[in-house]
Amino acid sequence: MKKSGFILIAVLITALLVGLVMTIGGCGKEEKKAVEEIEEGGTFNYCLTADPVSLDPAQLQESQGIEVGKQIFDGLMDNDPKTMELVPAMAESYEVNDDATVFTFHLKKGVKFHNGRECTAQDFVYSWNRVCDPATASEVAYHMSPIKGFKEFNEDKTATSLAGVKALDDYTLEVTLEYPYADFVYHTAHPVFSPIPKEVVEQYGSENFSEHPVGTGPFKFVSWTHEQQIVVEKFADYYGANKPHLDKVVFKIYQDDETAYQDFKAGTLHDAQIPQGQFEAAAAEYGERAIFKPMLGIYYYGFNMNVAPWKDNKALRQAFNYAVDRETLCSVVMEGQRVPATGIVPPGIPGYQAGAMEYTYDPEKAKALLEEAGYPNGQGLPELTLGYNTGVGHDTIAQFIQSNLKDVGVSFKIEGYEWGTYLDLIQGEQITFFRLGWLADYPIMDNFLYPLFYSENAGVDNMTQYKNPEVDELLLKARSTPDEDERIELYRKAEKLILEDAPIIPLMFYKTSRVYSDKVGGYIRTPDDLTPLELVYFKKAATTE
Amino acid sequence: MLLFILRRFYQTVIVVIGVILVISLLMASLPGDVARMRAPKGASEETLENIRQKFNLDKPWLTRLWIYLKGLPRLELGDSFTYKRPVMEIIGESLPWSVKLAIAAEIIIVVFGILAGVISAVFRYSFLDVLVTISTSVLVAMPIYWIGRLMQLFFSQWLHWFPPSGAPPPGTGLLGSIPYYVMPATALAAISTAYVARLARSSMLEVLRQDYIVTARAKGLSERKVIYKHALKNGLIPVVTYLGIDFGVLIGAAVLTEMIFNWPGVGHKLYFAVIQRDHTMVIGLVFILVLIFVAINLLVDISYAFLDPRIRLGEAPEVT
Repeated sequence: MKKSGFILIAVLITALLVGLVMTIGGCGKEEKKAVEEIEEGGTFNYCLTADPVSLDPAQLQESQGIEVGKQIFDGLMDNDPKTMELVPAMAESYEVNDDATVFTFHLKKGVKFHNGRECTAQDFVYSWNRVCDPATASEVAYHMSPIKGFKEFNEDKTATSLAGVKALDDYTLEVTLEYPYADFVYHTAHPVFSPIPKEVVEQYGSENFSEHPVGTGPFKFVSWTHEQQIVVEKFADYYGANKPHLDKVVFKIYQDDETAYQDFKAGTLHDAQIPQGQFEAAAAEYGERAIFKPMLGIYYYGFNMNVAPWKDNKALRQAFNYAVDRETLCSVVMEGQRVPATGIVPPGIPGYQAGAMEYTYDPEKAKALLEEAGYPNGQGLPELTLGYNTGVGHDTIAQFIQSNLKDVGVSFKIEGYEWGTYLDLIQGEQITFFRLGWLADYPIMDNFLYPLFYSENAGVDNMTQYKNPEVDELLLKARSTPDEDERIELYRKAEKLILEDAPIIPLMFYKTSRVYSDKVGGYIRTPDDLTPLELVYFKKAATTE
Repeated sequence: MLLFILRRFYQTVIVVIGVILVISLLMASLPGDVARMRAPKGASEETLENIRQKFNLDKPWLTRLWIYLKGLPRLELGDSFTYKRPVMEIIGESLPWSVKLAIAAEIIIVVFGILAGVISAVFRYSFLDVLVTISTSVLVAMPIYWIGRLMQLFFSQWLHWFPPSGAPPPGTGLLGSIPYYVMPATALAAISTAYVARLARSSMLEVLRQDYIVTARAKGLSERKVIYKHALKNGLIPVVTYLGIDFGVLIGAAVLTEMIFNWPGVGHKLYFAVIQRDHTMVIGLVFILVLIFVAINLLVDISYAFLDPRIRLGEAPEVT
């Protein structure tokens, strides 16, 4: 008995010693100094935080699907990864008519699908029709809703094709819109507008295309093991100027940020999302390789403009805007991982105006406005409740804002709801003071102002039920103005008008938080939280004594 | 025996239908429009209507339940709201991973749990007995989440012995796959191993006090024969019962382990299905897990009878 105990302890000590020796051996290796030169080839292990719903452009909606889809599919246009400005992709150039209703795209010649066939204008006609075809049951077909005939084909089912899309010849595509909308060209950079080869859809069946995606992007699809990994490899015949350096990308699928981050630290992944609570430590450990930059999204509190006390009381809504301390909220509560909102449209969107709103943290002004609103020191206000959806830290933010408002005399309850219930209650106007967020589909001012504040969107995305004919007119005029500078000026005016009316309290702009390995170069994170993997490469490592 | 199995089969059908009824009612009674929850922003009313029609959300709960039950004999569990693929296909992908992980964990539990328990009982009050008692107390007290993270830190980040997470990539051979199982299976097995060690110890101590063991010793049998031939088989009956039930639990309730180690099994599928209100996934997964659980219980009952010849079907076992 004593002997066996001794043996057990001896085995344990030996295991520990072996481990120690292996660790010391690892530390004792010569340090390698990386020299930043491009090493062609290699496999990049990319962190994906959920299994994509689909890899079919007609179904690409959530960020994970788009992250992979953007590597496989290209469209007519693209966004510059740094400035988000519109740049041509498969289109050589385009023209738009005077009232921004007809767009003519001239395609590049010799662009090939991954199956080797040349992509022509007919492929765009086929692919866009497929997205809008009710049989495809695309939930993201709405991106194409400005195109003439969309409603008849997709919603009313009275047409058999999309009337507004025509191939004038192999390399010319004409798109006619239902109404003037100059920013439509930005839509074409969304992967739902990517062309796919008809023969591949027919070979596998439309529903199975997601498992065998073929596009014209820098990487071609190899395999998808659900819940584990998606593998893509370099497409040798890629038409773009930035040919991929990597041979292969393995999108490793995770369900938990923390696990992925541990894998990054262990060297299994070449990049990862930085989990909440580790931002400061990651910044200290990884320096510039820890990327924290604003994303194209806003976090706000909304007032229902149809209901008292918010209805017809601009001073009250403005008072709330002056009472909140956005700086402390972002720096302390959010650990610096949000940017204090400066308006509705975040930085990174062409046309962003840094000083769009005048609301700063000014409790005295808030008190004065409360008095003007008829509620001096908050007295006389009905019982208020702020609603939020539970589960993702919105309660902490709500408590902070609650304390801000208490400082100026306004008290309200905060109440969390499950997401489905929450949306119903906001739309049913039972919650009239609420939290919401908005992430852009396209990097344009219109994508923030039109869905959220145009009167006809009230009750859909315009949850505040905000209606201002002047704003409506400015938005419609901007949509029909082909000149970009002029158009942006109109959107800027509209943004300022909305902010003056204060249907919302813009609180914070979202930030991306990602880290990447020191073995790679060319890694950037775009404002729409993507990494163009064709720019990424492994560094050549040179050993120095 | 055949009659017994048939009787249990009917009981199983009733249990399964009952579980589906309860789960389906619970999911249906949750407030909120599921179609709106899962539709992308900007989706039109037509799109929402299409989603409702596709997943029968426009129909009353009882109609939905009837449609579901009609498909069950053919294992038609519908399409997942989230993944838009047949639930059966998703279960087919994830269940084998959960089963494999549970088997690996069960091996660890059987080998280390029983060994520790038997050694502890045979060498009662020795250093080894104290070691087993203390270590099982520590193991039971440690949450899986913490054990998992500690293992990742020591064995992956610092020592680089095992991959930190994930299942073996496609095409990995049996030997190459083993390192992927070590940490998740150990984390999953930790608490059960401790329980089994304690159970085996107390059960063995009880058996070793029985008259027939005294008789065996009096006959002059060697201690090894007394323990392995006479005591162990009886002493393990409660352990086998526990292991059987635990196997079902290991498959269905490995949510934390699967999350920490990014294991593509049914545990985290179920977790996310509940969060995302994916009715068909939740019901489908619960259905399959209940089936497995009931089947295992049946096997345990049969093996129970095998291990103790005194136990006859329909009679209460004398040894517990």
